[in-house]
Amino acid sequence: MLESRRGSRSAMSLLTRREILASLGSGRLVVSPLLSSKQIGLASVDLRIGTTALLARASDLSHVDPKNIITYRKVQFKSEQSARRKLERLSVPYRSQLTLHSGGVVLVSTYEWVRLPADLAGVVTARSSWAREGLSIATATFINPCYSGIITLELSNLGQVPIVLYPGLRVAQIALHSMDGDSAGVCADGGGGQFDGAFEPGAGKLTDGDEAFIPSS
Amino acid sequence: MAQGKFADYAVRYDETTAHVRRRDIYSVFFPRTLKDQVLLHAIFGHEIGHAALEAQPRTYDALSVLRDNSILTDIDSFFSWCQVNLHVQHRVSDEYLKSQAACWAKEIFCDLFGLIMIGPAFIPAFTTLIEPSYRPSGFEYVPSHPPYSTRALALLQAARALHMLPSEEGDGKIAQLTKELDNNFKANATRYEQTPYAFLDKSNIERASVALADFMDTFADELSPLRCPTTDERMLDGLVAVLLQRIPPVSPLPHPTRDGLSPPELIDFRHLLYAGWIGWSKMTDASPEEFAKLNRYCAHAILQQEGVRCWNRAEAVGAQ
Repeated sequence: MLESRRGSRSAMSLLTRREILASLGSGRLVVSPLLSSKQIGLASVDLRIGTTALLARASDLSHVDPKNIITYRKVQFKSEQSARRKLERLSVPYRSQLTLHSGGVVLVSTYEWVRLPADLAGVVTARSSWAREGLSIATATFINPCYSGIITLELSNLGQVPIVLYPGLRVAQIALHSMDGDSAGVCADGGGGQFDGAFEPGAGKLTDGDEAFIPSS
Repeated sequence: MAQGKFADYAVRYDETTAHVRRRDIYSVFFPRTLKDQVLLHAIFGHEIGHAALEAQPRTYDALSVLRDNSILTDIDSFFSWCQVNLHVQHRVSDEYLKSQAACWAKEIFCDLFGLIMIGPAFIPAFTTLIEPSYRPSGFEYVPSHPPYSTRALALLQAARALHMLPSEEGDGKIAQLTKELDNNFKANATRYEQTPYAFLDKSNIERASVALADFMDTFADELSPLRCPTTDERMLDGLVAVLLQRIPPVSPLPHPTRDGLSPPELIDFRHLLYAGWIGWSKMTDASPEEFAKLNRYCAHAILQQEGVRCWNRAEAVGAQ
């Protein structure tokens, strides 16, 4: 089905529910485990909150400076210490709550493990019901083809009232786009991106490849 | 609890709150170095066996069946066995020999307990952790524990008696896991044949295993039975196939149904461990790094299964 669509269109196209079901059923696309088929919408798959979270702590650092990250990277211990000072790892069991205060940011893993084939890319957004409560899934929402792992949801509360979250809640959805062009060898070329194979949320590599623009002292 | 010493296990009884509790609480500690090696946690069943011996007097029925008429009940025969087979030269006091024989019986009992509680995944965890400390022959003398070969053989005999291994040759999956054990026995065949039959009496081990299995069945809980549930071959194949694709094996991949896709299955963690070991035996790269990754996939799947359990429980309540 995807092949015939690709032949007739020149732009990326969004997978429909039927196409998503076919891809999941054949094992080409993996969203594991899908607790209910109701998670598959007209053109997206709902994702649930997992049990691991990284909470940003504002109290301990005056600011985030990429320069420090480069300096610290030379000393592994300092680098880890820096990450720990900013992000606190929380294990949130099922039926326990995580409160996201107004203006707060928390990185949470999805409950589902997602694996995309070479010719599909994903875009993760908040489900509209939650967005109306002020919950936003920040800006880094693109999932590369060949990605395999949990997806990190960068949740922030844009509202004025704290939001209580529970592991297992469907707060996000992933829309899947088929890609035009030759996708052969994409996975072998290091597709998947820097977070490929992630089991839990982690701090990003802010400065990789951009060191030339950051002063050394 | 991953708070044991660097390499030791421990079982402790919580006495401080015993007077206000309706149930006894035993804490089983394992070495922190094993914290992330979930496949090796299968060996935990052995330590729980020690806790069961302390907490449940009924377990002594199975223990006495195991020791029945064996050299473990007669210190002269016991010392002579150690002299012939393990080249022990100096006889110590009778009291010491008696306590040593009692220790050996308990260790074999706890191996059987671990096997019946954890299932086939206990065997590879046992060989991986215990065998290296008894190299090269598997028959070295350690006062506190019986020789590795004796313990391993008892495990195999119990596994066969309880039909965990479909045939003497193995079913192709377990055969690979037990190959190392079998090789070890073959290497020690001459010495093994010299050992007094009573110490490794097959019928003792079989009867003790059945008694232990019956004992565990009295703790039947539909959601988390003490005894490892029977393995479903189809489900196991599905889990291994998922794992070999480097996906946490929480459940076999779904298949299309009239309403969409088949839901994930509720799977006992012991089957996930078993699938992990089978997956490991099929991997071409047997490096420690790969083993660490495999452990992470299995650990992740076990955590995901908690979600499946939570979901199913709510579904069941909704259906009522």
